[in-house]
Amino acid sequence: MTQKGNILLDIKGMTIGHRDRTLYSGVDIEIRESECIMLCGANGSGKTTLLKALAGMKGEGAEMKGKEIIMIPTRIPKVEGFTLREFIRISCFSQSDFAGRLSPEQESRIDQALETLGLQHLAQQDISTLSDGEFQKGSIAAALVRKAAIILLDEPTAFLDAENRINVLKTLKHLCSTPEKPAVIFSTHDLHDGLAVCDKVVALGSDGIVRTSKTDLKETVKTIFKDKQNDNQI
Amino acid sequence: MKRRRNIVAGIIGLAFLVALAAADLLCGGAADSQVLRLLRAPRVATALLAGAALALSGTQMQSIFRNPLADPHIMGVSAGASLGAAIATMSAISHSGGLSVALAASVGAMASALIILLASKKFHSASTLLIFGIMLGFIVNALVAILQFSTDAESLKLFYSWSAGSFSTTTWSDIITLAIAVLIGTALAIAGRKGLDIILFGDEFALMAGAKVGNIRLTALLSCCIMTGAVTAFCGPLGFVGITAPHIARWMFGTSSHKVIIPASILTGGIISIAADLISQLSPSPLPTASTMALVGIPVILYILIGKPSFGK
Repeated sequence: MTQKGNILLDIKGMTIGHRDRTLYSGVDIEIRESECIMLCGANGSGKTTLLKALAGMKGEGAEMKGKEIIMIPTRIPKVEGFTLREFIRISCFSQSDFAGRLSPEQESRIDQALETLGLQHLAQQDISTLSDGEFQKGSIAAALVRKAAIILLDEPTAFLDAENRINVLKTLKHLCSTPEKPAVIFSTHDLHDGLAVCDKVVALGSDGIVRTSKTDLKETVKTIFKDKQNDNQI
Repeated sequence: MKRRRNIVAGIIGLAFLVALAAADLLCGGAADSQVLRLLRAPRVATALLAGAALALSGTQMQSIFRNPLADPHIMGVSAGASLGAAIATMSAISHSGGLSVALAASVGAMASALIILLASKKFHSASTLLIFGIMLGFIVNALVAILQFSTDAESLKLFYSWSAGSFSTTTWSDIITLAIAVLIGTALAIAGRKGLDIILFGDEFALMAGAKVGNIRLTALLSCCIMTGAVTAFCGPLGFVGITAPHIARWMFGTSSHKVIIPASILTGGIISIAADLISQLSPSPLPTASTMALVGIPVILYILIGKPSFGK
């Protein structure tokens, strides 16, 4: 595996669980600048729980200073009556003032984010009229405006058709190479397309072990279904 | 572009409201200043305040529950007021008439609201809390039915006259109390408007953006309870305006942003309420306001259900 930029988050021995149930213990994950990481595992394996755990963390390094770890949920309703620009402004809840206004600097960050994701022409369009893929990109633009050092996406391609799926995954890859160098972690069941864009894979094994591996389909499937003899499915 | 649309819609709405209020004041022909000052003006002012309060309550409830049919009626707050009024009119506690009915209704609305507020701390899901509110309304209405069943004809008449709804029974001092409640409720809604915007995109999204979902819901419920409690106490249980006014406001102004929708629903709520009052005054003997409100409101609800059900998708 080629090492990317500086380390943003270095987790050692983390325990992941849901209420009283421990799913994984002794989890080690290292996240570097510009890294595109695919998170995979069977249904109910704890992908969302792991992402939520990461979302609650604070990075300590110089690269994380003034930046955030931002999680984008699977399904955000496209509420009628808000333009894409207004939606991004609303997403910056912690950054806006009492009346929901952003500073001129943050407003220009919205312009930059829209340009990075090729959404300038949709800025004044009502979000209910956007395609799911365009809206997903709008959510990613909002994370960029909020100065995300690490962007966590929970199944960003779950409800998209083939064209939009590839489009969003390419956008994630492109995002990592922008000057801000954010790391992107996305969970997915779509191993083929995911592996084509990611730099490394974090696989939640059915044997209770989280493995970080190279981008190899056979190895990834073996990790996820460790005890289920699925080699013949590859 | 959007700003210009808002200004045009605002001017048209205001002009419509003023025209309706003038027609409502003059309805019944020329009158001396005493009649205008002591009867018609208080009635129009009450209609305006009640419509604004219920519309703003409906707006907040539809946002926090992300449900286009949520309003204080659905959440059982009005049912609580009915129970208070029923106890005051039908039990042996009080037979002293109007003021005690209003006070008891207010206490009932506040008690219902308090239960919902406590439940909102326990249930974090919007749909669970909505179901809880509907169930609370059913239970309270069942208690009212039991009281109705076991009371005398005189008490039943007093209760029915309150439950028919009216803007005509308030004095200027009642209106001041109502206005204070509306001011407090509106101030809370304005304070929480940034949260009302983000909660439309789901609890999870709001939490991830750093919003305190519980506090947003609590502030909005408190605002609704204060306003609904006061309106129900003075005017009786009035439905429909709370559901319909926010939808008309969104349609007129073409936005769901609370920066615009809060004042816009106050405007549309006032229009619906005064229009309902005007219709009820056109009859030779004034019709029950709750009924005329339903006549104005039901076509809009049907339009929402059949025509354009897009809010909160």
